[in-house]
Amino acid sequence: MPFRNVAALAASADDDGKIHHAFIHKTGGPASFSANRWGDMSMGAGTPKYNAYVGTQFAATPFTGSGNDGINVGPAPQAGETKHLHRMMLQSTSTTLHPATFLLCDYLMHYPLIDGDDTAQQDLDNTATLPRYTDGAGVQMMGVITTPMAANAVMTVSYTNQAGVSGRTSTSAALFGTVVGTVLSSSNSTTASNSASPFLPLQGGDSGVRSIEAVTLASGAGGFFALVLVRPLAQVSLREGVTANEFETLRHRGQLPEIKTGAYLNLIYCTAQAGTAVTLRGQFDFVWR
Amino acid sequence: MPFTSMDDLVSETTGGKFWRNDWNKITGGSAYTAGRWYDFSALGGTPVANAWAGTALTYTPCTESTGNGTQIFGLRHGGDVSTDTKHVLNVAAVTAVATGVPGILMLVDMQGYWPTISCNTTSAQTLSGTPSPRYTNGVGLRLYPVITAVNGATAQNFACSYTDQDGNTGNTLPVTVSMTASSVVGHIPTSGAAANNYGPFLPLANGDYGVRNVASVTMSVANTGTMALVLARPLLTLPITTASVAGERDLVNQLPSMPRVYDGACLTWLYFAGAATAASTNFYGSVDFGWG
Repeated sequence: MPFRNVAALAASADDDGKIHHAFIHKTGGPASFSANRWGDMSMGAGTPKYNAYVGTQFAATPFTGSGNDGINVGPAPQAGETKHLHRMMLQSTSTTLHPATFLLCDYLMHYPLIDGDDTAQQDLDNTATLPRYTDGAGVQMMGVITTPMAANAVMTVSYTNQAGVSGRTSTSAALFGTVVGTVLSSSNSTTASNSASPFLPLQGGDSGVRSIEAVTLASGAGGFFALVLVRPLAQVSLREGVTANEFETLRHRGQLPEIKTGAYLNLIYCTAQAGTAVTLRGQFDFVWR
Repeated sequence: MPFTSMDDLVSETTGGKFWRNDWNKITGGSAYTAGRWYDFSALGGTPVANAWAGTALTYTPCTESTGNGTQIFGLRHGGDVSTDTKHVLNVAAVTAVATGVPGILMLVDMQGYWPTISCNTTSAQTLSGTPSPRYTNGVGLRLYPVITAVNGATAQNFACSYTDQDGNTGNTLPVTVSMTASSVVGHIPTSGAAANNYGPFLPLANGDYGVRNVASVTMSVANTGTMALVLARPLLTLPITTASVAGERDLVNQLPSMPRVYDGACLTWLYFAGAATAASTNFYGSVDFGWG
């Protein structure tokens, strides 16, 4: 059952011990990419573990958090209980990681090794389905560069929306990057037409994505990338070095984002500086009842 | 019924009465001018662009699920929840482009609009249709024009005749309102830094605090281009100050207001350009809703 009131929240976080403190320490984000682009911290070294977007080419590959695969969210709650993000803190000693905005996402599924040189329609295998948020409501699409790319291209994606309607289309600019971990769908400070930062645009009336059926590039872009389905949960900014930025979800955001059992949490981020991001530390507290 | 306490908010939202909307928009091929307001509904991204569909000069209502009947362009906020009431709990937005800041975003509930008003006539243009706004008697509703086909170079003054919240007809704007000739679709031409600019909303006559309907629109001189006249309810503002740093507003604790979002609300953003905003500037943001 959910939290009945503030007292129940406080009890979980204190007397009842139904709280898990997770610490992260990323020793390196994706190597230097253009200032003001979005990057995928899951492809950074440290804890949680590096995510290489491993899988069979084109096959939907679900993410399930376990141990240090994704931010460790602690034990699964008992039947009938729900888990929620209670606090979040980030700090960096890096001089190249601020100011920046970080977006905590539940990584749900990815389609690896989409070929940037192939201008034919690339059909994706959806034998596997979403492990969480199974109807796709609120689920967003992003592209993440996994092998350096060489040119921009117009990208059209065919997907099934949150209502189960297939054949929905999304067309936007795929913006190349030579740095693995750059979010393909993000433009930067020089701007680019038809880009959509950081998530791919949805067709009119859609509020989420259940699966992706195909992707087509209008011209060769080189390299490889993964299409990733994520559920954004919360954001936090870093305004300066060393100083931690922290918030409590209820008191500073007026909400308690739910963390589904099996969640694979990680961060995407947009920093105003170029340069390799290092030493990102953080704490995430989860409570349940 | 509304939230009765913080306890109730915790119980309802952790029980599933919660929706997070992620949106992104990218400005078009023209740069924005500092000091002016712009309508984001016609920009590409998520949700899709509003193409201002509808019969010329005829009121076109807008809702969450159907948009303007052709484009579903409003932010999705979780559908109808009556008899619960829905509220905005938290908002955030960020741009990666240096000239996108400083800026101010304003979330409005677009009730509807009159499309394809010609800027190329000095005759009074009669507007038809009767709005059925989500706010009783139009209380709190405001008007703003949006350029839908670019103007020529001739500056104009804008006048209109409207019905106020008490049902008084024939009300006129209390001051001269100038329109800046605009080459940017989406520009709110009555806003800006000129002496007779007002933005983003048209000034109302003394004593008025809402709009039920608009009878006619008149331009002082002819110019080319078209515009839509929008009837909307402002809900909140969100300053963004620094590139790549999200502007954030907690509307439960930080600025306790929790603006209500009515069933069917068609939510879109207006943007005040604090700097000359480059073409193809991206914006990303999120809005958290809770109901109970």
